This record gives sequence, C-alpha cells and structure tokens, in this order.
Amino acid sequence: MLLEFSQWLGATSLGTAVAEDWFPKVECVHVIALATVVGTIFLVDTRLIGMTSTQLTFRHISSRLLPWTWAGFILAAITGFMLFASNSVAYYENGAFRLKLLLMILAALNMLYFELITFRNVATWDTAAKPPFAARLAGVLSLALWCGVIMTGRWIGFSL
Amino acid sequence: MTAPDFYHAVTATALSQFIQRTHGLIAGIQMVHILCLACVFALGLALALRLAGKGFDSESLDSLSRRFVPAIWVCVALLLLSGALLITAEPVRSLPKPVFYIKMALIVLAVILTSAIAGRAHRAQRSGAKPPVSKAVAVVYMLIWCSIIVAGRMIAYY
Repeated sequence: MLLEFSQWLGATSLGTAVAEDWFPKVECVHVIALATVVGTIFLVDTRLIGMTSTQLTFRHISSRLLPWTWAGFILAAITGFMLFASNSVAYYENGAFRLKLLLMILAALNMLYFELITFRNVATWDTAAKPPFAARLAGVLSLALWCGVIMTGRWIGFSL
Repeated sequence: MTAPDFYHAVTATALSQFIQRTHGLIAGIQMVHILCLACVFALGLALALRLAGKGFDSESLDSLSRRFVPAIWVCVALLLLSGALLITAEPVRSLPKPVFYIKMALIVLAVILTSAIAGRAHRAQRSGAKPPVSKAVAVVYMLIWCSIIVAGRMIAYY
C-alpha cells in the first residue's frame, strides 16, 4: 500500500514540480527548519542533562524554545514531504530513509514518555541543576536519536 | 600554481586521502558540521529573540549573551574545522564556486554582528543604560544565518 502511495505521489504534479524545478529551494527551507528543530532541542536537552543554563529552571528554557521547535518541525515535515514526493519510490526503497523515519518515531516516543511520565512531577526538580535520572536519560536519548536523524538524513544523499 | 594544480595537490595529501578512503568519515564530518550549524542557529535565534524583546525577558541581553556567545564561538570554530576537513577531502566541490565565498563573507558578517550585539549589551549593562532593543537588527541577524545555510546548500548545485 505504501509503495502504491509512493508511486502515485511521484507521478503527481507536486512530485514532478519539486523534481524538476523546486528541489534546491525546498531543500534550503528544509535545512533551515531542521536547524531550528535540532538546535532548539539541543539547548533544551543539554539543560535537561544539567550541562547548560543550570542557573535557570528547566521550564524557563523549554517554554521559550519548544514553540520554535514545533514551528520548525511543522515546516520540516511539509518540506520533507515535498522532497519525498520528488523521488518517492527511490526514497521508499532507501534503507537510510527508513532508518531516519524509525529514529524520528523513537524520538517522538521518547518525548511522549517524558511529557506523560517524567514531566508530570517537574515541579519537584524544575530548579535542580541536575534533574533526576529519568529526565537526564530522556535528554541523552533525545540527543542521540536526533544525531542519528541527521546522520541518516545525510546518508540518504549518499545512497540514493 | 594554477587553481586545478592546487586542488590536485590538496587531494593528494595524506589527510585528504585518509578522509576520502575511510568509509563513512565524510558523512560523519558532515553530521558534526550540521549539528554545529543547528546549535549556532538556535543560539543565534535565542539572542535575536531577546534583542527583539520577544523572549527570554527574565534575563538581560548582557547576561544571555555572556552565556550564549561563547557557545556560538565554539560552534563557529567547530564549523570552520569540520568545513576545512570537508574542503581538504573534496576541494573541487567548493573552492571553485563563487557561492562558497559568499558563504564565507556571510560568516564573517555574522561573527561581526554577534560581537557587536554582545559588546553593545555589555556596554549598556555597565553604564546602566537601557538595554538595546532592535527588531530590525534581530531580523537581519537571523536572515544572515539563514543565508549562510542557503549558501551552504547551494554549493552542491552551483
């Protein structure tokens, strides 16, 4: 079913327009969006681990940066979909692309667990320079997973 | 020595050969390059938001820049180092292209503007003057970082 969707998407006017004319422009916006997502996540995660901005509360950092993370993510998702449409069957069959999506799903699950479980009692550790183990683990996993997303994203270019 | 001779000489060095022949090393260096770019972009964004009076308002611009600007310098240094390694591996990919020099000029501009913002905030804090607030400078500052990213991607195409 996904293969049929990829074949259909590649043949749409969006797919051909991106492939023939828009690819470099869309890619530029995708990289700017990705820099916003990963950069802001890094600033939040390094606070969560207790490496940076320890004189400020975790919520002070996260509440100011995460809206930008989400805005960047929406833009990255839209431009990523457009790039996918330009050569959808090749991307669908590409191992690095599949691994990138898997790492993004794992990053989302890690964030979900953190939001639903660890963040619930944030009031008890918000001011701590070194948050509890579960929070620091979420930060380390997030950093590692997003490094993996960048690595596999780059690898797509080498393996298509 | 002509430009092609220079590119050939660089490509023939032991360092260039090592980077080219080590499986995954170019991708690894590119990952470090992109990560540093993402960090510098986010740090610049935080600085620009504070400068525009649109965020991080519980902290003065001077205090924020004292924490973030040294991190920007570390990221820029790592960007230059990883960029230099990528050029050493594949000089023809970037050095003959005008857009590469546009990117370098934009980086110089970003460094000057970062120093100017931090310097002005520090002087205002020391003299007890009102901290600088400028939406226009903040927008220009972020446009420069966006242009650096665009120029970097364009190296692959032009």
